[in-house]
Amino acid sequence: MTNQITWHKDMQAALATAQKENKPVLIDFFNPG
Amino acid sequence: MDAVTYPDAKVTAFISSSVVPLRVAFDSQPLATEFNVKWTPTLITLDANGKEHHRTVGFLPPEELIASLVLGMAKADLDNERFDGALKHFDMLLQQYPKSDAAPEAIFLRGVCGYKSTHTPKPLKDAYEKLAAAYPSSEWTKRAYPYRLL
Repeated sequence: MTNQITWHKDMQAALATAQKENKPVLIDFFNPG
Repeated sequence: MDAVTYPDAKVTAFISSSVVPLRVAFDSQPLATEFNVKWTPTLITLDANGKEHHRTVGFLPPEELIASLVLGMAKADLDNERFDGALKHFDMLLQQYPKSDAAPEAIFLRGVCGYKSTHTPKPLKDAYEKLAAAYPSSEWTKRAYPYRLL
């Protein structure tokens, strides 16, 4: 079984989900290589 | 993070259930400038209004990442004066990850949370005593040093 995180890619969409689900947002600024 | 930490089953479960994960390239504008990102990985906890409450820079192994995320959730609660939520998250961190690098800061801020919610100094003194006993060389023990006199 593959463990995989489903990442948002858009800040506004992430914040809308956070408000709807009453959760904080984790931003990962990463180096895509 | 992609090779070790994010594939970890506990990390995946925690992130999927407890936060809204957002991933952007380090040079993505305007976010990289707005958040003053200088190195990767930079991990930031925001509240649902987009305000920053916690940040780490550099690799974190699975157990340290979860502890750091719980600390971020506690700090978001504390900053927004949701003291019950903050205490719940501080206690979760200290019970489940007492040996994590995030634990001493959690004890310090748990004392601050107790002070702010009760307006009595005892939680601050208790925090110092716990830090001195369990983490004598921590920077958070040094920061709490004045509270021994309360």
